[in-house]
Amino acid sequence: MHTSPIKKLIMPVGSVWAFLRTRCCSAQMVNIPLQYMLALLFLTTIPAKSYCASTGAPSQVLMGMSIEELSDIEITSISKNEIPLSKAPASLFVITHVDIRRSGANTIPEALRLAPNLSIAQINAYDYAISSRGFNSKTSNKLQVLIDGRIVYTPLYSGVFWDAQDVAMDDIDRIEVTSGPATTIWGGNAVNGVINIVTKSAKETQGSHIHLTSGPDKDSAYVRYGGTIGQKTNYRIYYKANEQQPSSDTSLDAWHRHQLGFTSNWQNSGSSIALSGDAYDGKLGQAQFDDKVVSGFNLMAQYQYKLKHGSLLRLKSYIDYTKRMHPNVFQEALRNYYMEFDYLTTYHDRHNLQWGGEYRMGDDQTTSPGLLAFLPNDKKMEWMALFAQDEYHYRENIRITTGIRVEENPYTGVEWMPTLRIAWNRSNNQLIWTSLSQAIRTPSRIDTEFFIPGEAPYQLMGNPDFESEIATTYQIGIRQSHQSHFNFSGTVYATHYDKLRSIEPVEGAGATLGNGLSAKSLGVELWGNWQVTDAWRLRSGLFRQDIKFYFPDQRIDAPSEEGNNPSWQLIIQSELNIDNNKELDFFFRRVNHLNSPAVPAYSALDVRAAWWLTSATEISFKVSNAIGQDHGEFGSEASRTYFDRSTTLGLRWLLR
Amino acid sequence: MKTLSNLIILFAFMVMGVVPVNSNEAETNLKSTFILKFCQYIDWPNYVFSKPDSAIIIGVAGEKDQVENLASLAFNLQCKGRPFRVYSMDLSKSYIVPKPHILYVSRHSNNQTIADTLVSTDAPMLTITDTEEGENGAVGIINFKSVQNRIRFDISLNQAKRLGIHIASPLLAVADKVDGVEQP
Repeated sequence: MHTSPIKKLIMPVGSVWAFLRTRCCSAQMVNIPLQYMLALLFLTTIPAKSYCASTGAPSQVLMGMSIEELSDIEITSISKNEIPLSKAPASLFVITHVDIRRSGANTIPEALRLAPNLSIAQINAYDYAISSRGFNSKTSNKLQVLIDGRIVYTPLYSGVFWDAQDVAMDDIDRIEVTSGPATTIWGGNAVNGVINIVTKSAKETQGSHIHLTSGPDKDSAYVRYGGTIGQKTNYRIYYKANEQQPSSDTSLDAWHRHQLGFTSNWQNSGSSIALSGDAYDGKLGQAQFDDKVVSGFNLMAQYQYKLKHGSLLRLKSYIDYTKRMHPNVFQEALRNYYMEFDYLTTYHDRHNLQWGGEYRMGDDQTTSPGLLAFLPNDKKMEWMALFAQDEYHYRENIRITTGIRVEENPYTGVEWMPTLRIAWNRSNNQLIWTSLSQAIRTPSRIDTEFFIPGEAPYQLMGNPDFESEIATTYQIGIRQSHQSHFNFSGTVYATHYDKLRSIEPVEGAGATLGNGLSAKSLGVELWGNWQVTDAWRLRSGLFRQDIKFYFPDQRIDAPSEEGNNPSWQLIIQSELNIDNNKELDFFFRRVNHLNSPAVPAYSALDVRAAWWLTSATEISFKVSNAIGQDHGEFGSEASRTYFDRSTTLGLRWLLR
Repeated sequence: MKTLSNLIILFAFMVMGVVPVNSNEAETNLKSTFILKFCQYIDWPNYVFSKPDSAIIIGVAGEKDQVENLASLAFNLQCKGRPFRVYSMDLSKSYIVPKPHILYVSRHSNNQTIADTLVSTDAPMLTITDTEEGENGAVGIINFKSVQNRIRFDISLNQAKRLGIHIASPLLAVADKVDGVEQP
């Protein structure tokens, strides 16, 4: 019997609601007292605003115009689209560069700890398990990560090698962290979230900038110079180096990394061109074998052209090369070529339309001595996608966003990813939103071509018929603000996962990967931001999640291959200006225990004091893990790395 | 069911009373956008900011909707690496408002005497006002006016120089009048 596509979308929602009514509300969900959660209501939120960056909605906001253009606008002609209702209907948290500086973060994972809607578990000195809404592991595969629009996840396992990705912290403008599906604009992989790291333009990073940190365990150096060429072109070049000693006497995870790069921006009244590139290499220690070696480079060009009536055309292209060598395990060289166009416009004064397409080609070459193998060793892969999204102003304060993405991947062919979002601006400072989305996690090489050991007879085999994982998510959220004093954001979500990866025995021949698992997830995300006084700012965030697994229809314990997740996590950040020149900042986190393997709950407190000797010179002192004993965050007890107290002295010097 | 009930109660607490939308919303939005854009062309004296990422404080003497509109637009935006913070200059409130770097006195301000006082201060503050030609009222360094249903502005460069505020020439070129002289 034929089932219409609309019914196929609605049916999982019906089952999710049945789940909510009868099964989700177990006693475990109330371990966090309601009073505690209500107390968080009085800690206000960052009203996460980024012009709908996470959904890609094109709102023709006035802020995109020049002063000259604003002066030419007739007030009566301003359409609803140009009224700045630019509040994204998504669970979006923005980490600003001020937050990053005051936290003393020196790497991307350290900066991401500031997001209350992410799980960050440090595995060793350079490895992290990072995810959103569960399924956290070293090879988390449901989170899309981009740096200035460049996808940084590897097609090897649809995850991110966090030891290979770095951005100079002082060059970051903001990090937009969206939890929940965003595949319509950001593609397959953005099943449970998107991390979009946005760097400052070259115009904003002029002059000389030096940032040095040093401690008993780690050192870093960052040097940057920014200048201009003519009237319209700005550039910056930089060099960054990090070095860290082993986390413990037995971990042998010392590492060092060097990176250099550039950014240049050319801007005219109606168009702009941006060029950027980075190159890096590093060595990562490990206990069993010789050091791992990572290296790579990328080069990206972006062009933006403002057409008549405010329409925008954007073109982007990049090449990304990475090489990894894990001695005695495997070696990989991967080239990614990418092209994208998208077009943003308005239609009949009620519709903000965005549509576009992208093409990506990956050329992956692997070799392995025998412990494991990707077969075939070498593979060329292509992905193509078309997407369209319409933000419709149904009423003055109600926007309905519909979107669809059609993506072709090398394993399952064509996949469809629809989304529906409704945003109600109940007042200038209150937004209520809801969404229903179907997201797809397309297969990667580890699902289809991965074998242990590298030669037959195999103990574990990839499955050439592996299907895409499907996630249907319903969310409802609220965002409220009061001037710059306090803001609050809350989201409740329910997700039904289908065709999750499972390990299934093969009679007489080891095991293979299948799609036999399903899961139901229910969670809440809350955060608040409170400017208590002019000199003191408080921020707090909490998530609570409950994931139940089924194989195929029977409830089972959470399989270890689906990640290891805390049921809740709390962060509190305090930024205090003692006077105009002195700062004292705290960052506290409490992470509940993990189950498989068992990792005890832990609390950690980072303290940072800074003194601006002049408006261009800062010295700082940071104590990480200032309270309690050393703690581990991930992994089995036998191999877990424990992190102890550490101190870092910093010097920042700006010359303009 | 208990947890679902708790979550519903939680959401009920979150939802506050309705605030009526300003009927001049388009004009309000346009002026808010101008105010945030002006910052790109303004340099304050070095001693005003102690750090490269110290916030730019915007004080608004006007209707509550105006304050919320500007705060909503300004959040998570930056100007030259500095975030914005927007406060109401309603002096009847007990909350202590930090000294603003930008003061916007709208035509809907309900306390003209205090507005005049704030505008006439010697502090290095970019004052922005809304006084139409021929009206009595405070005139700041930048003054909005309506011209053929468009928002334009005049700049008092002498006033800016007296307070140590530098205004970049691209902004002067877009102004209608600079120190009373019409721009070509």
